Amino acid sequence: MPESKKLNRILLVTVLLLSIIGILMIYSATNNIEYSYFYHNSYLRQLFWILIGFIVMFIISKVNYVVWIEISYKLYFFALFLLVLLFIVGKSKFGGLRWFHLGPFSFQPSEFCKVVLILSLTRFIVDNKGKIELIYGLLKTFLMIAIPLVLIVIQPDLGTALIFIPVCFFVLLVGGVRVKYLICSFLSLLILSPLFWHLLKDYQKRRLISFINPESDPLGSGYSIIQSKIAIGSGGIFGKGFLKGTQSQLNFLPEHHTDFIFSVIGEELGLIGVSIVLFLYYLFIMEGVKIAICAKDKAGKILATGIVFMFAIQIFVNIGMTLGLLPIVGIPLPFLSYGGSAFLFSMILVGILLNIHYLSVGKFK
Amino acid sequence: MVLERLQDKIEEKRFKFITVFISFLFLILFIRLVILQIIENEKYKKLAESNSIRVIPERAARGIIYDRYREKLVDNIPSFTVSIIPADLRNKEKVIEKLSQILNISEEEIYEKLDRQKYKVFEAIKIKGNLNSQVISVIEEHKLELPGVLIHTEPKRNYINNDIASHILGYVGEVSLSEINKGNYYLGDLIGKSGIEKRYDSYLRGVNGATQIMVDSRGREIKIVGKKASSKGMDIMLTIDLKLQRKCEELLKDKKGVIIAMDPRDGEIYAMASKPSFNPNMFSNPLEKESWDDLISNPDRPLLNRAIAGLYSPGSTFKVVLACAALEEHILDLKDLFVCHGTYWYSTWNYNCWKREGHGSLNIIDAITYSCDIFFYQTGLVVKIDKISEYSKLFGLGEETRIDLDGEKKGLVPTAEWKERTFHEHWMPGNTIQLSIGQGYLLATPIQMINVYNIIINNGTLYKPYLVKFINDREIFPEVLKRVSLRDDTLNIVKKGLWGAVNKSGGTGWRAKSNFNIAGKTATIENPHGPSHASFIGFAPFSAPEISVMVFLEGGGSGGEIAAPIAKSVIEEYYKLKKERYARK
Repeated sequence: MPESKKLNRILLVTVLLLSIIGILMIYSATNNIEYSYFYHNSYLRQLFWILIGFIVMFIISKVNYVVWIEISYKLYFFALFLLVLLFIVGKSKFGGLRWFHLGPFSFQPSEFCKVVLILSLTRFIVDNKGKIELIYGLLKTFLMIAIPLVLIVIQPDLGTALIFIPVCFFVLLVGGVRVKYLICSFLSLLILSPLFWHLLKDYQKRRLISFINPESDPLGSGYSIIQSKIAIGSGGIFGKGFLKGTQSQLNFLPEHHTDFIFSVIGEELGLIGVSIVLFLYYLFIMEGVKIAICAKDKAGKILATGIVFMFAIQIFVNIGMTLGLLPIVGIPLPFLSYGGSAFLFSMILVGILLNIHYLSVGKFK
Repeated sequence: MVLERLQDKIEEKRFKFITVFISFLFLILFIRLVILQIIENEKYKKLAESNSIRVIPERAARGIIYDRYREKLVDNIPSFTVSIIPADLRNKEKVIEKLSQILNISEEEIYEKLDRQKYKVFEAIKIKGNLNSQVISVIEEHKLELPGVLIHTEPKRNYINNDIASHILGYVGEVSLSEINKGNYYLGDLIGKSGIEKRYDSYLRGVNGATQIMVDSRGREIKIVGKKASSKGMDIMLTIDLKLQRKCEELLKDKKGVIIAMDPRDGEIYAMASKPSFNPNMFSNPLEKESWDDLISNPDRPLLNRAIAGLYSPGSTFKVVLACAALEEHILDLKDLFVCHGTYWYSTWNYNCWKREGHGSLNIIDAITYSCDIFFYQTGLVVKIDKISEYSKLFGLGEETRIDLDGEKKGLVPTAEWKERTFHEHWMPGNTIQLSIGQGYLLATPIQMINVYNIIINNGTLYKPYLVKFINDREIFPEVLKRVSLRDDTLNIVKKGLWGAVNKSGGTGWRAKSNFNIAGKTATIENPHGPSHASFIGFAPFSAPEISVMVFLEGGGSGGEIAAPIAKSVIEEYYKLKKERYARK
């Protein structure tokens, strides 16, 4: 069987371009004197992580993705173990804990979970071919997803947990589950959601309320939404120019080198800049969908779909948040936001996607 | 084959849906961007160019604290606060120099405060609160030289009765940096630092509001963009009776010590006075460093709530625990007599009774009534250390009473094993002898000791002592802390002894005798650092007790002479107030 011998160029180019834009914008967001005191040389650190990320991506792209699927259950239980450990360790600290600190490195288990859940979900669907379509099999799948999700929600990291729901929806769709079951479960989740309200921390409740009515909380998250909209809106078509965004430069925007990096782009590079970013993301995602369609087996299709949606939903939720379309949930923008852990795991997913493409039969156009 | 085709077809359809779906998501984002950046561009440009939004926090008022009869103990009064909006600071150095002169605080302090919130340059940062109108008028006069300086009012905590009940109420202060990180606090927020203010802080503190105003290029307000009203914290009603509390504090005037008055039937605390005390209003005003140092370094430790954190040898009031142990374990009964000659020889050591001429021969009831030390030395030696500490723990010594205040001490119930561990020495009979009259290693807080008596009064049931009766409309109900199983005859014997101590001639607590049928026990505790500590724990009426009182005076002298009359005054005041309230109804 002829294999496409090369790594997918479109993926490589889009990711590289996005990473470069990310570094430039992180530089812009942290370059002012007051701020750089705290975030000294953030862009250099990000550059370091990008290099590491690309190396890891190349290595992963050479590893047959079936290997990951095979060890996925072990990884799944390891991830559960980490989450429980985090819960126990975090209990002593007020407001919970999302990170492990190992010397100079910090590591966020929910990032790891994103990868592991897609892998083990793929394995589960492939293993239970024919059963997954039935209600019983579906319930078992939900249970498998629900355990880590609840652990992530109580961390508390509502954002990451919420992202899984649409991702799982589409993975199951490609996995062959009947549409009416999926719609039913989606609806029942909607009905059950008031129950989850009680699980939320106060600040998360406030964020959701302030999303519906930003003026209700001008001190807290409503403030961030308004400021982000001002930054992007004032950017206009051409933007205020690199390093010239008044909103971002004056620290109007909270977290502007991490979760709100898109607002900085919107302000400084304008509609043209953000359109380029959106276009790069669109190219990347569509290439991913193509890879999913052309994957050599069912497992590859499902895995690729999961990865693609993991990215697509994160992109949509993060940008939607900066545009005031969605509540603030603290999801980074893939490849652009500052943060080593998130970038590294994104690159692992890209590596797997590259391998699925690499091994796909010649039908890839 | 056909089936596979069908599946392929389904899959194709689904992937088509996925493509459309994702494209749709991107389209939404793009349309939104066009709306913001092209259609609404002008509006946002204006907002951004003038950097025109300022945030002025509106501090929430804390809940009111009432006594059990709805008498206000703590409320809030408005006070002037000066804040700075960093973005509007022009001539930063000059303005800060000027402001530091007017406010009489160092420039460094202002810089430090600005530094703490350096990422919120459009938000008013509190510099100093609780300013008098003179200072405010000076600032108003120099307004033009002070761009970016803002005056507004904030609620300030007002302790209506100054130092009355200060240890119960506690005090508030501005949040420290470490506390800010623990919860949803803003710089300049008030947080309870001790007492009810601390323990119930999450209820008492409200939710801050804020106003977002749009200003012109010179920092003048144009319009209000957003407003969120602050909401006041929850009100709290205490179990404390202010009038009785006031009486207790008067009785302790110029003394060092504790009075606790409570209901043994449910654990409600009517009064809990600890002296010396402090005036919590001091902390509402910006505290001068010297007065803080005074409070901290004062050897009398006025901030210490002696009722829950003062560790003392309980002395003779402890004898009832030993009596219960001896009776419950069938080691003693009414027929057993010990003889007291005033001195007791154990091997070559001699131990005295407080009454040097001796009590003669007496049974356990009389031993409690006349507080004979020698009776209890010998009882202790037969009951033995293991049982004594077992019963001490049974009566709640050595563990927290879980009263709703922070800073409670556990005290110490010594055991042979404890001594071995701590001093690497064996437990000696001399240690048991000292322990038998509540001295030596034993340490207890006044609240623990009144609990010991509450157990006896209440026939073995102990309620958790508590101070908060209502949080807003939610009632806090009494909670049983433990049930100690004691036989009726044990209880009767001990109670008879306690009745005799006050009501029989020659009883050590005779000065507490009153029409209200008081019973109780005195203690005069040897104090190596000065005069003896005086203590009395009593209750009334004997037949169906509704109030128990603990008096402890550091260096007060004789328990019978000094503490018993004070306890009597407290109980009489309680009945007097009860009668007045009844008459009014």
